[in-house]
Order: sequence, then structure tokens, then C-alpha cells
Amino acid sequence: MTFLLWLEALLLFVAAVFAGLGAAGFNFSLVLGSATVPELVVRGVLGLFSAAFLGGSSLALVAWAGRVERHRPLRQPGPRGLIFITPYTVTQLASQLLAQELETTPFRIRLRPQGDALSLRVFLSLPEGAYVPELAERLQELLTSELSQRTGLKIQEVQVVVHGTSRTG
Amino acid sequence: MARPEGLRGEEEAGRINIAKDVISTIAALVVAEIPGVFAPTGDAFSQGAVRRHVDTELLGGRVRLAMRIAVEYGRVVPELVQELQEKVKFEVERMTALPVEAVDVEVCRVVGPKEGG
Repeated sequence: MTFLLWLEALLLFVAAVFAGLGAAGFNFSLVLGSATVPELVVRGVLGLFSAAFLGGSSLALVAWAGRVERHRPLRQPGPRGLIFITPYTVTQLASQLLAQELETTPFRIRLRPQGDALSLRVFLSLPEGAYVPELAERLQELLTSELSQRTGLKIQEVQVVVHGTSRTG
Repeated sequence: MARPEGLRGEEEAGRINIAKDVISTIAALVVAEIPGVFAPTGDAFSQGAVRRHVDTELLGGRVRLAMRIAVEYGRVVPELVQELQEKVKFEVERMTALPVEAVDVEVCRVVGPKEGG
């Protein structure tokens, strides 16, 4: 996460350098071979570079904000104080549940907080002989009921994405 | 020498100072006694974990605690955390006579049954 902030700062700095060069009152006429590039064109190119780096910086900032949001602990009030549960904790719980249910089938979980609720996306390879709608419903039921019961959090939705098939044995 | 930051109370026989660290340590010792609760590292909640994982705030003579913990897999988190909050509040109030406003708890991770030390 810190990497994205550094990247954002670096891109912003480079954008500022280009913008500063473009705005400075130097004579920017360039001689390339026998042709002379006019000052206006040089300033335009510097402006484009500056805009590109500013755009990159904005993207890094958006990515960083997204990560912060995904890692934000979910809050629920308790009688003696607040209870925060990190998304990482919920992912661990979901992984344990799925590992017991799916045994050797590989899977991956993505979690997205939505206010004080959560939405989960499970990517998995279809186990041999499994019927997709039945499997998806079973996993949705398992994750929704167990996670809400064990964490007290509202599970908004569980999406199951089958991205391949797996063979055992 | 600078005194550790803490709460002061006026008693008939003299002044009582209670350092924040004392309150944090009491809280950590209570937490260490609760089955299924660990430090965020997955180890048992030791006194060494106090500074890193327990914060004590003093607001107008009232105590507010914030702690980070890990829970054992299979436990019902809200129940376990509420038990922790009750016990910490009770013990801090009993030992220091300071009112505890809240015990905020952040559950950082789950510890597998074999992992907890």
C-alpha cells in the first residue's frame, strides 16, 4: 500500500517538474539536425508529459484509495465498545470454511466492503462431477450463514465464479 | 524526571496517579486469561504485547481502551469480543476505580488451532 503512495508522489513530482519547465520563461527552441523545433511545440510536448504523469499519479491515488477501502476494518457497535473486524479476518474465515467444503479444489476469495456489509467473490475450478448451480448455491448458503453467525457482519452477496475445471486423482 | 502520563485523583490522604501503562497492562493480563484470544502475531497475549497492541486514552477522567487481537478459528467473534470487553471493563474499574467508557477491539486475524502459542 505504501508503494502506491510513493509511486503517486513520484509521478506527481515528475509532472510538476515538466509543468515547471514548460511554464518557465526559458528559450526552448531545439535544433534537431537541420530543423529547428519551435518553442511552442517544445512547451506543448512538456505540457503533454506533465499531463501524462499527472494522469498516472491520479490513477495511483485511486488505486491506493481502493486498497485502503478494501482493508478498512468493518465496524459494529457492542455494549461495551466498538468491535472492528478486518477484511483479512473474514477472508481467513471464509478460506477455512471453503477448504473444508471443497477439500482439494483450488479457490481464491476477493472481498469488498460495502458500507458495513460485505460482498464476496469466490473464484474456483469446478470439481469433477459437480453441478454448478447446486455447488454455487451450497457455497453461497455456507458462506452467508457461517460468516454472519461467526462475525455478526451482514453478508450482502456471495458471487461464485467458476473459471475452469479441476480433476482429482 | 517527567512523570508518566496518567490519571490523577484527589483522595483525602493524598494524590493518586495511575499511569496509562498500568491500565494497558491490566487490560492485557485480563485478555491473556481469555481462551481463544491471542495477540495479532498469533502468540499468547503477553505483557510484551501491551505497548504494541493496547492503547489507553484518558478523556476527562474516563478511560477508553483500544486493542488489537487475533481470535482462534471456530470462535464466534462478537460473543468472544463482548466477553473480553466485559472482563476488561470490570477488572480495570475494580483495580483502578476509574470509569471505563469503552473498550474498542479490532480483530486483525484468525489463528488456527495449532498455531496459537
